[in-house]
Amino acid sequence: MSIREIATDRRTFLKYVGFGALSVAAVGSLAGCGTRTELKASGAGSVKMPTFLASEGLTPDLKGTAEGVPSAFFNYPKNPVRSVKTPPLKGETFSAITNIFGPPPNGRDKNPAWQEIEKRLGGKLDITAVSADDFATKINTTLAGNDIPDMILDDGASIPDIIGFLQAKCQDLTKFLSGDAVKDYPNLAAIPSLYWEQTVRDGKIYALPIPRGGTAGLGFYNAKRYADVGVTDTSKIKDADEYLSIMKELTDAKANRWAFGSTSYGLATFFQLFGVPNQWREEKGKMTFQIETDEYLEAISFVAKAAKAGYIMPGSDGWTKSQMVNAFTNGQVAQIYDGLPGYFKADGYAVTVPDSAPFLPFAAGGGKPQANLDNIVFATTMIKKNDDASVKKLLGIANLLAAPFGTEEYLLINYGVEGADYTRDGNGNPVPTANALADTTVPWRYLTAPAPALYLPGHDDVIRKTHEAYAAMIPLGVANPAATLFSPTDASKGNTIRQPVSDATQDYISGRKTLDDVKAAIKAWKSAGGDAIRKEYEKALKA
Amino acid sequence: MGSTPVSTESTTVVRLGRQRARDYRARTRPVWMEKPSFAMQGLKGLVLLLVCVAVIYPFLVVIGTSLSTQQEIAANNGFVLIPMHPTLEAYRTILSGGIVTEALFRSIGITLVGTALSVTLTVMMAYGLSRRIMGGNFFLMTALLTMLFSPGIIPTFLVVKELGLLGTFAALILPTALSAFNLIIIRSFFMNVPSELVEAARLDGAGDIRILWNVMLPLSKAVIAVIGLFYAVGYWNMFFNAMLYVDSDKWPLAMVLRQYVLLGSSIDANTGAEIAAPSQAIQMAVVVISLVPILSVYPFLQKYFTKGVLTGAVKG
Amino acid sequence: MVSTPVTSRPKAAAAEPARPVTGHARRLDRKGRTRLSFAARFRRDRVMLLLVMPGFLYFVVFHWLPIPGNIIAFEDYQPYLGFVDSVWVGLDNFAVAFSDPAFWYALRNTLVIMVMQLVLFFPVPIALALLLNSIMSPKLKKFVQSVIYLPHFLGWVIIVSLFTQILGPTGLIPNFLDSLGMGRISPMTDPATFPLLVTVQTIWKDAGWGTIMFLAALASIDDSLYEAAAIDGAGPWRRTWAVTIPGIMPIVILLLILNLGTALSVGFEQIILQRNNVGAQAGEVLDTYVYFHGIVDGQWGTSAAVGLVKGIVGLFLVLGANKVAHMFGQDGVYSREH
Repeated sequence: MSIREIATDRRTFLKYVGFGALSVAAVGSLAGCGTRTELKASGAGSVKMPTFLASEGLTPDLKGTAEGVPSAFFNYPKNPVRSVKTPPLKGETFSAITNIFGPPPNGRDKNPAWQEIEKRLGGKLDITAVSADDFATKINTTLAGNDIPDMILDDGASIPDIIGFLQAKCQDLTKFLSGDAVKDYPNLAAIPSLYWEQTVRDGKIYALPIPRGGTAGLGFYNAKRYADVGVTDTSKIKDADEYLSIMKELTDAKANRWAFGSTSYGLATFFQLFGVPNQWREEKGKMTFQIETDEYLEAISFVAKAAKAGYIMPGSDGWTKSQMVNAFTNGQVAQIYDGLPGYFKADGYAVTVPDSAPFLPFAAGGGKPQANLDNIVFATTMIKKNDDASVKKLLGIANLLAAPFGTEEYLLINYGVEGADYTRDGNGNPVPTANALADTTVPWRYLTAPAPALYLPGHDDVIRKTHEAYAAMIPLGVANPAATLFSPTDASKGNTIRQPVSDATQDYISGRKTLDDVKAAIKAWKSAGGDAIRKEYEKALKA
Repeated sequence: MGSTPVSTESTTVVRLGRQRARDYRARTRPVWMEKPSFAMQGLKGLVLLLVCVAVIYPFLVVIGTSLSTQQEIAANNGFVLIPMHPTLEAYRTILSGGIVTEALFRSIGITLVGTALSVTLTVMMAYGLSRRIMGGNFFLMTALLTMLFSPGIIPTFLVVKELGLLGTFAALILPTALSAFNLIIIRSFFMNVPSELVEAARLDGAGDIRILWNVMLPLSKAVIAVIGLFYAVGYWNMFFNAMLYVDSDKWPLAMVLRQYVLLGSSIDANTGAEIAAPSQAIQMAVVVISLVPILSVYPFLQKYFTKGVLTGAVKG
Repeated sequence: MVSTPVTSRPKAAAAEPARPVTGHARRLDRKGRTRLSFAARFRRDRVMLLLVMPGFLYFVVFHWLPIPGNIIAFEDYQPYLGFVDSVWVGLDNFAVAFSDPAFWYALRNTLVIMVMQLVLFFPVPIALALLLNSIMSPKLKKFVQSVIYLPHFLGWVIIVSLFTQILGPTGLIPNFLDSLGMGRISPMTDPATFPLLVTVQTIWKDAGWGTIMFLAALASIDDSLYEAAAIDGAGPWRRTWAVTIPGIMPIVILLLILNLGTALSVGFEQIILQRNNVGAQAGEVLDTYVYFHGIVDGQWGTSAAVGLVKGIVGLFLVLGANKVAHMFGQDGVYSREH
């Protein structure tokens, strides 16, 4: 028995013997022996969600739904409302660490947008902005140095022992936000419960959500090329065989065109087409991982078939993002896999590849079409343990950052200060100036954000198409039942034991290995930890 | 090595003036520099041509791509040698807002200070170890082993933190101030300086420092220039220290530019796709911008490690 | 090659037999040479020691002080718990790695690539430097020297992308050969040619940069030696053999040994960009293994464990190569003689 098991058992033993109340303290004392808490992190059902209070006044052009379809706007309201009248801070300075995408912003002294936001906050927020690639290294060195910022992004991957960390260092926000308590923060109350559910760990609300559109989709296809071979609506494709023949017609190696090409074969698309579970499938308390299902083998066999027949562009499995974008832009491939958020941005696929459209799911393996709910939140933000007054202030900051679309604050956070960073055109839409990027890449929206709103001025058709795609896919959404559960084995070696399966899958599709090798890898996964993970999740479900 | 060669360069120049000295040398080609056979020249030329094409081609392609539009890039599968409609759009995007320019100046400062410090430390220690001294092998080992066993990221971070260097420019220079590799190379060069020269200097009453200054350094210009170049390039390209130890207001150029290319080079199939990947043109422009300073500095250093340096020995 | 310190007293020492002594008296060392007292040696070497101190201090503070952090190789390390509080797992991290077939693939691939680079890549900068050195025209020489190092700065993403353009499955050369009816080759997705591919890429990127070191070494060779050799009737090849090669041999040996020490780190970015193309079995190297089997799960302990293994192997390689160098009469990286 390894030390870890003994320690865990000791913990569990203490609980059973009625020292449950001491279990929180025990974490502290046992931390000297370095235990890994096997705490159950139950789903949202165990804690009351913040009461939902829709923000008033604003009517979207295309409505959203409570299940997660984002609302859409064609224009920004001409007279934005001010949602936060009194600054939440009184001169304090807090710190935060989160992701940044794109070039670093202008420093505070040169950044009118930053200054204005802090004026409205009534204090300062020092943000350490780290690119996603470096985040794991940076957050862990920061933690090791015991210098924990007040607001910490939880990207789901950088801190494996998340429950232990939350309990040891983070503030339980349940009493501040659950039920009617959230009414102190109207903007946070306007975030639907769908997103709050993602912040529950260990039966408590431990973080703030950064909502997104719900599903990352099935990628994009070149609608024109598809129309050329007679397909105008991908959701109407009958089955796998028809899809295969469509791919055949789209491929013409001599003319430098292929049907599909995506990094690592863009398997997410095919998984959803064949009904592979969104990570885990739960049935009557039993959990099954995606690689264990027949649908998984069906899906990868299909891709292998397509690859062998030459419908997938050779070498595409090793592409970098840029290579994939290039190939899609110049028409070399008719379909790629990339997330939906990359579609409706000012420099997204809708604009750079006008013929592109989101691929709507059909049921390739029979049954119902499926879209994975794998993009409900971008991430969540944890708050360091603090006294009540400070926590309230931090929530006040979050409240301002969660100002919904149509407010002054939203405009400020996303577009900057009028004049310096943008000018308003006839319809009230902000038009960015040359300075805008340097001022607005401050990652406010990666700390807390309102419910998503689709908005791209001047591209009403893009917004419409995007909204339709979301509206079509969210009802077909399949959730991951393990999303808010915690399994110590999964946290400590989940990725490691999945890697051989992933490698074997890639090898099989590329023709280097056989399906039997994949099956063997799956079997090895089970004994290397897969079964243990399953048991832990099932236990967590019951709690 | 017992001969005392004549230093032709300086005496000739003194006697004839620079231009005429050049002509004189060309006319009186040293006996060991005869013209090779025609076939040999042809072969050498061919090899050189291939080498030059192999190294210049990627460089031109990078420049060309940085000046192209995205459509052209996509149409050409990612790289364009000669753009049809050249545009400075990529450079404008990067350089607007002044962030890159600021980072550029910061990097220049860091590189100058860092290189000076590193070269000084390295030369000092290499010289100190170039002769048999008490504990010499011990000190050498402490350096050599650092090449083989590196401390982890977190422990080094903690040391830097405890020293109070977090958030300072010193944190960008000190943690990588010395490279054992460079140290050992310079030490080897110092060790290979003919002992007669050192003896001669000692007989003249020179102490250790004087020997370093008057004998070792002048003879090692080439290798010190090379090591200086290695250090300078290291500082110029450094981003990891910046990512760990300082905030974005002190980021050097490499770190800032890296933000532009990270998304495009991702091979991660899981995409949250928060922003669109920067166009290929921008990624290439990033490379060009970081190359420009090196290209400007290199020719000045070149003369130190090519033939022509006075390799003559001390006379008499 | 080292000048003996002026203050030693060799003559008196030779006559004295070895006898055990204590304290600060004069005594003989193993080779029968006089050993000065500690104080006397310190006086003699004090300036040198002073010069060594700052560098030594640097190594102590920034390398040796944090080295005990490698203790996490023996722990299940969680950063927020720290070194002391993380669970001790003994050799678990090592055992997990050694019992993983993927580790052995990674090790094998690393060794194959390392050997191939040693044999194919290492001589190229030397040859190029010799070639450049023998160019008569100073203008041509300067020009080539000014461009030859450029690919070093291009970054692996670009180099690999360029390679893909030329040699990739739909690249220029395979297309060309296919159109000639010679079938379609795909060197970039063929597991068997992966080490060669990696080596060729390294040559393209870094051979030019590598010549700089050797050019400096060549520049330090005394011209008079060439003159003397020529006067003695040696032709160009003979001179190269007799003067040039011995002249740069110390630096060649030195670089060889030093490279052996770090040889197991064959390259991370270059490999990870292409690992997908050839599959894990052919494409994994130690550094990517550590990444996919440790870092992705936040297991810093695995990384430290493999790092220790690499260090130990590297140490043996360096010491072994150093000994071999001594047998050939070279100084190598260090020697007791010195």
